[in-house]
Amino acid sequence: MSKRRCAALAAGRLAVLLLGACTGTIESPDTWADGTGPRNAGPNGTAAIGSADNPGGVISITTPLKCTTKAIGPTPMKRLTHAEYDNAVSDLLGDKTHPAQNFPPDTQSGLFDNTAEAQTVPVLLADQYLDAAESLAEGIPDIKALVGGCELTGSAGATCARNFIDRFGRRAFRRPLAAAESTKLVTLYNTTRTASDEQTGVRAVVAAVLASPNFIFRPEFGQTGGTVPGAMKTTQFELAGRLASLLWASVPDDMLLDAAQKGQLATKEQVAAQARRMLMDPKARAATAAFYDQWLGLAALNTATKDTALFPEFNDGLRTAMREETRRFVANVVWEDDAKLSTLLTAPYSFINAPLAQIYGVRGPNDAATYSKVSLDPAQRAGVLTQASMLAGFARPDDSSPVKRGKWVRTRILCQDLPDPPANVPQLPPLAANVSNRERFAMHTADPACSGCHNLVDGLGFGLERYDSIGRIRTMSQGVPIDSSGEVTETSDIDGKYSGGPELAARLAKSTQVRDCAPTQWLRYAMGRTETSDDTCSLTAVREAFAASNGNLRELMVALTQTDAFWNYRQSK
Amino acid sequence: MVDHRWLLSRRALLGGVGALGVSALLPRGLASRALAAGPPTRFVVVHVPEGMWNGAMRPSATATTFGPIFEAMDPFKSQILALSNLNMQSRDHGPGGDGHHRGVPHMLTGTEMADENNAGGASVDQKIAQAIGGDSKFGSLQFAVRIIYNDTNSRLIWSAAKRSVPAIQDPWEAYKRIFTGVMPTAAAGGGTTSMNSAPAAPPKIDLRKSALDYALSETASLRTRLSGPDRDRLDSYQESLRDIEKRLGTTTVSVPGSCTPPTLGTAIDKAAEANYPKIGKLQMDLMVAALQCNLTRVATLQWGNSNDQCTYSWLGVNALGHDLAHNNGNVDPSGSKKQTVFRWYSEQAAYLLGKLQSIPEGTGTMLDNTLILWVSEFSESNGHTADKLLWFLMGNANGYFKQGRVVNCAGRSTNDVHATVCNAFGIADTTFGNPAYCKGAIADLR
Repeated sequence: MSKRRCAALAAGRLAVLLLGACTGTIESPDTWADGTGPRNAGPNGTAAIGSADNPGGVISITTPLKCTTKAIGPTPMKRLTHAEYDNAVSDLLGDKTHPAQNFPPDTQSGLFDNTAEAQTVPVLLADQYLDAAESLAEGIPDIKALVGGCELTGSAGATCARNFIDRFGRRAFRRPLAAAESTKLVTLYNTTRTASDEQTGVRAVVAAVLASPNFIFRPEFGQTGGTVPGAMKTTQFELAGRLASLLWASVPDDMLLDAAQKGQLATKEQVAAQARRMLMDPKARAATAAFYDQWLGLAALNTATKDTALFPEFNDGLRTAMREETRRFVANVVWEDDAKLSTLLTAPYSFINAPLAQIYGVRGPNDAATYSKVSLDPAQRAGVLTQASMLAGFARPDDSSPVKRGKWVRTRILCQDLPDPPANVPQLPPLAANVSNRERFAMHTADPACSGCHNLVDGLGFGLERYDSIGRIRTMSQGVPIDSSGEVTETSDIDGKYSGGPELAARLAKSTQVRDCAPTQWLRYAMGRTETSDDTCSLTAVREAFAASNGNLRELMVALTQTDAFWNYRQSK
Repeated sequence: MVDHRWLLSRRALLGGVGALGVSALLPRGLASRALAAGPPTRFVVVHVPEGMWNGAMRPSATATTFGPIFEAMDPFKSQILALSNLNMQSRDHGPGGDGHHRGVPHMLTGTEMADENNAGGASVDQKIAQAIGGDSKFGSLQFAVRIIYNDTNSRLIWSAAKRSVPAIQDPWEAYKRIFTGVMPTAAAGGGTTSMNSAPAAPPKIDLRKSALDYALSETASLRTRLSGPDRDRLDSYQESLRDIEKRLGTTTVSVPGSCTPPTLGTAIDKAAEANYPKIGKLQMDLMVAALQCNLTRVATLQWGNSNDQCTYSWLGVNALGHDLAHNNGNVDPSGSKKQTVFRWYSEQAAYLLGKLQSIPEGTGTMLDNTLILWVSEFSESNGHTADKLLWFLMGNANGYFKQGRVVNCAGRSTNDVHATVCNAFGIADTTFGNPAYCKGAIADLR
């Protein structure tokens, strides 16, 4: 990272980056990288901001937002993510085999795997869509039940088939079939029936619908009558499709589609009421868990390795347990507890099994299969920040990593991106007796050319030095007592020195910047793209609603459905 | 008669106009080679992560062996051209992330990325597949072993700008996709086996085919209502469906009598690191079989991610390849573990070369009729540099290259290698990728 580059970043990305502090070289690329994909900065700091897909530039997290000009960013056409595909075929056919698990994986960009722009259909995926369509259609256990119990043979057979086609098509396409579409599927049914039988006719219709681009993609066109310049108004069926994608990661149910058909998704109150209904459904839990998995970076655990001599207990079982703990904790906070972001960040309880009880040094269940809610010492643990999944996932094989952990806080919780690491950086010195891990990192970044950027992350990570590479509490590092003092810098409201994880967590929990960051991450996920300045009004609205609800994460999801971005459609160019 | 098997496909025979039309566009070299009796020339790209080796143990132009890292490849030295000091010049330009996230999309495309997540053009293998793959069942096939990050640090193959071509990671999936319905029947004499991809008694209703037809017609009507990037993404589906449709039309593939799909054994977890060597070997076997059977002429194999997430536990390394590259946490102070890893990849090269050499073809072996471009994205992985790359060309594409040498490319662009390779396959272009980073073919390789 040259000064030139940081200067360019200053000019180009000042909204996101804290350039004042970032004037030197960044530390080791490996310690930076967490596998979350390319960041937004180009090699010369030139990308992202004036690029074609981000003409308006990015929105500052530290500057108060003001909605002055009504606008929305583009609405790129979405393809079903693989999770959505599996949920959709489960809702449409009752299939629980998760056929998409063998599809070539969805592309990660940024934190999330649902970036619309990356959702192409290469040959391999198209092949698998066809394979799945065929085997799902062939595997329908009870055709009569699927068509709603009517008789496909006899005088009412044609009506039975047509009704099924219209109903199944409406759900899969998230809108009623056009007359020509319906006729085409009836023709397919009849041709197949003639060549074979009625049952096979139904199977052919199902396979065709599942392979249709109207199922695999979610095309939107909007309608006239919008109030946002340059945009159309979202149709009620499109709203139904958006609600189902956001809250269930699936297709709508008949109740939602009926509401759209009757014109009962016309007001924000009606949509909010549907959103609340949908959030009560267990499908919402699984769907939103995917957001938290990605936001909190649980995938880092998949590839975290540990020095087996130092951490012999770290194995796949423990990995799984750490992931499971955070999932159970998040689900409990969001769905059972008060749903507050501050609770997510500070709650002194968690869900542990026997191996995790060892990590936390508390009494817990006697086996690995049982997870129990336990209280943790509030002087040691507070919310997701101090859970083993994060502490072990963002650490080095031999010790903690203040840099990885600091980056986790800076990018995921504070919504401040960091520039890409430069090449050719000095290596981290090896572990040595009487040199604490903290000192090791400090030596590494002492060079003023390094410390500029490093101050953005190290101060957030040093406070977590009391946790070792697998998240256990420790008092010594390499024979030196732990120093877990840290400093928060370059935030809008929580700068200052602190000591230890719980204090940092408490600081984050009271921060307006953190409270504004969660809506930003959710909006990115909901839109399948990074925000632009055209999204200012939508983002402002979600932030205000989130603040008004005292940081309620369930209300945040409802608030997303009330935004200009949700109620309008702007064609991608 | 003996060479009947190499005549190009049923479509070429039945639709002679089209086939000849294509060949008429090809430069004389390839057209004559392709239509002449004799095995086709195939193109393979293999990617290994985190560079190959930097420093004194690289192959030397004067030594009689490839040296300690690459000695497993010595038995094939006469079929190998080591290219040292190549520069991936395009990587220094345009948008993108760090060296991993830029290196992979740049490596085979040689032009600025379209954005942070996408390459800006077609990769060299896809360009060659366009030229030589059109009449085989698969235009090209992509194999990979244990990709962890599905972002630009794994997206190597691009059919066009912003069109990533994913690789298949599960050998059993690959087998199903490549060989299903391709059932060897009794040899028809002359060493020819007819592989009939239509089962003897086809089911009365082919749900897959009717779904395909329906999806294609829906795609066509939806397309008229979309524009810009939305239409581009829909087009990716339409083009994929057409590719599949074309393949379904290829009912009979004429293949050599020796064509035998490999036996895979019981399925094992493709994602488990302990299975990495086994999965890799199966993928190589499948790749060679698909090429041998003339089901494709272009194939690629990716070993892991650029940001290497394998700990090579079966070698006793037990540290992430990426940590080795940077010696993170002092996991490899002497570099011996890294050496072990690179030696292991050289052994994989030797396995692939040996496999190709073991298959007689024409007057020689399959290796004579294959060109493998063996690549990695870094010259020195800690620094993420790409200005002194070591790459290999293996096999000699029917004598096109003068093998058995170590060539100092002295900073020539990797695009120059791609231009040379394109020429070897009859593509007459004088540049590859962004011409700003290409001086044309490297004469010294021939």
